[in-house]
Amino acid sequence: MAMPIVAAFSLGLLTAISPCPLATNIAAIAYISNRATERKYAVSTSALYTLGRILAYSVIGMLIIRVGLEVPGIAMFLQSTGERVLGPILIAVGIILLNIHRIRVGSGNVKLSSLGERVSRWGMVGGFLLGILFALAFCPYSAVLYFGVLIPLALKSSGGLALPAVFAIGTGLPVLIFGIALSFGVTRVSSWFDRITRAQTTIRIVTSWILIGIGIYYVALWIHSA
Amino acid sequence: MKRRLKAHLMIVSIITTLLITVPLLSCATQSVPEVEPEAPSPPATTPTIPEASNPPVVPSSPTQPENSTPSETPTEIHRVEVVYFHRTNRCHSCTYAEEQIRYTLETYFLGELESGMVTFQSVDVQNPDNAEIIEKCGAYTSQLFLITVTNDSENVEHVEEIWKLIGEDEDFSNLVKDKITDAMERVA
Repeated sequence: MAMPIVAAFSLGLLTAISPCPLATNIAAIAYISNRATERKYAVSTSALYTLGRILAYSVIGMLIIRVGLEVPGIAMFLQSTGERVLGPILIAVGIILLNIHRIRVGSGNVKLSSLGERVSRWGMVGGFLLGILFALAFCPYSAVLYFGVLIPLALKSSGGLALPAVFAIGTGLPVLIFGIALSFGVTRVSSWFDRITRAQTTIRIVTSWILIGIGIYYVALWIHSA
Repeated sequence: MKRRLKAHLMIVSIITTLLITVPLLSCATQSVPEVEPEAPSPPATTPTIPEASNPPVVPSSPTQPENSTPSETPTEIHRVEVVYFHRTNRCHSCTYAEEQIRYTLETYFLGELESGMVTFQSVDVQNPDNAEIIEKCGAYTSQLFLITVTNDSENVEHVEEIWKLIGEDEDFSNLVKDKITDAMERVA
């Protein structure tokens, strides 16, 4: 059982650093950096992001291993759907982040401010949802590693259902490490903390534009292939 | 404050646009070039591997006309069909894989390509015209298959190991060479 687990984890890492999934992880890192001044936000959001990936990969794995769904059908469906929805959703998240900023800076309208706070509190849940979304949006490379290598391995192994979860941890590891480092750094280095506090607005704007930029990238890729 | 914000926004927009446009343009213009073999210059009659875009779903034997149909294929010949699937939108790793497969074929299997013992096809997995071979292999994304064909049998093998060797030119090429050699031994 140990060998398949190691294999699943290394497959996840391979996926995480390949160009296409890397773009989604960069978007996730930008997302968790959005509120860098809150100590626990980055580490909690990155953990939830990884949990989202675990949930998505495990559910697909279960559908194939237990329910018996055919791999080609589900793989083609997820790749095509991912191509279409990923870009618009990233653009929408980027625009929402930009708007939250404007609402807060606005005229002090209590309703609008509390709305901003409430949406902001949803940030961590947003990380979880992004994890699910990014896992479901398969690129050709992640599709072949997941459906072509990991799933056959899981079908052969006795505890195969655990392998998609281990794979997911590998795919989310760069984000998890960044989140821990960010929280740790913010907590320990007070001068850095001050600087980040001052740059909060800029971080938010940069984050939003990174998400919008990656979203436009995916939309353009989809249009190009359509 | 608002001016500073606007300035920030402008800078970020410019950087983001540049970051996006450059790879996008290179991606949009990305094609799979013919890979030059390291071997000495081949004679003028050397078979060339068909282009990647929507090739016919038939073995590309050099003795065959380009628009041949399955009924015209020399079914009596035992052969290895190397079939590389890709999506319409090519990713970096997918393009790399096809380049390396072409390189391996042109470097080590020129004679076999010429005789029709080995054939190569690059197939768009999203093109409905290719439904027959997609179904035969069960393909759904960028994948390499070897189909060993004899008089009375056809065996499809998925070579998924290549995806662990992206960027490792020599190991990738050696793996493909070994797999094709093994397949040829099976049909010999």
